[in-house]
Amino acid sequence: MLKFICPICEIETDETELTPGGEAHLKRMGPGSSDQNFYTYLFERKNPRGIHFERWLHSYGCGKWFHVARCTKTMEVFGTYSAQEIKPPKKILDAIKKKLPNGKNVK
Amino acid sequence: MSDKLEFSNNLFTITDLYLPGMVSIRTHLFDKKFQKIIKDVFKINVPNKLEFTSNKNLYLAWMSPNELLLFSKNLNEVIKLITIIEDSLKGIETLVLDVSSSRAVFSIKGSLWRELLAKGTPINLCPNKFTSTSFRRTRLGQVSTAFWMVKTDQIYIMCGRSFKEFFFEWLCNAANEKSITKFF
Repeated sequence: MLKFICPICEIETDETELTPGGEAHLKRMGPGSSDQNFYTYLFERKNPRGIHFERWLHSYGCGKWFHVARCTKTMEVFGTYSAQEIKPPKKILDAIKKKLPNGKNVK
Repeated sequence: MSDKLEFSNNLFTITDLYLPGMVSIRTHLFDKKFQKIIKDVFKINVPNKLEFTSNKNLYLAWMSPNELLLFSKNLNEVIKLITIIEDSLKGIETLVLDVSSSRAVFSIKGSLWRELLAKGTPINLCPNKFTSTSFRRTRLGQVSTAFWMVKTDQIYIMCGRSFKEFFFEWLCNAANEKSITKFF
């Protein structure tokens, strides 16, 4: 079972209290974008076997979104951070880098 | 509205707090002006994260970073309070809403209530983690719920109004004397 710390409540919540929201840090392609860009934005989501940044909703608790960095292969959670962050904070990236010294999978 | 639901055995008494009053207040909770008004009007401090504060039969609970819940066993009291809140919070961006009819609240009496709740909720109910000031929104079984301690041997637990009967049956089932463990 996945366990995350909700950055808002600052308590450990488990998977059953949360709702997954898919890939994080997407750039929204609005009405002005090309059809191909809109298609990619809407349907083509990353589903890596390895390090992944995701959105999760604390639906049974505070009802707020937050971001999670985890590994889908080992189920290791590197950390959670605010939904307002545009990209993963340095603290999270450092935690990942510690595990992967070559930093190959981190973008 | 349905009948008042009641259940009791040697360990627990589960009663429906028939027609309780609840008001949802959405605003910037950390706003000093708002906190002062709440303190002046209700003689209650704005609660911290995951906690509640109380004044006699009135409870003020932290629901989320921008929402508070004002709870009273007496529906009429709350209806009166709404006008007071709205008047005193004039000029501050707030949303005050009577949510009394959208939720059902039960009282569970019995010193082993932690054992009962632990059957359905993933949160840590250890006496040093879930204390007398804690207010938690979580799930019980498959129902989203919130509960807090009123006395050491009594809690109030709320759920969506549409789950009321189901939730009550769930509680009664879980309260079976033979199935209660002694973990806490």
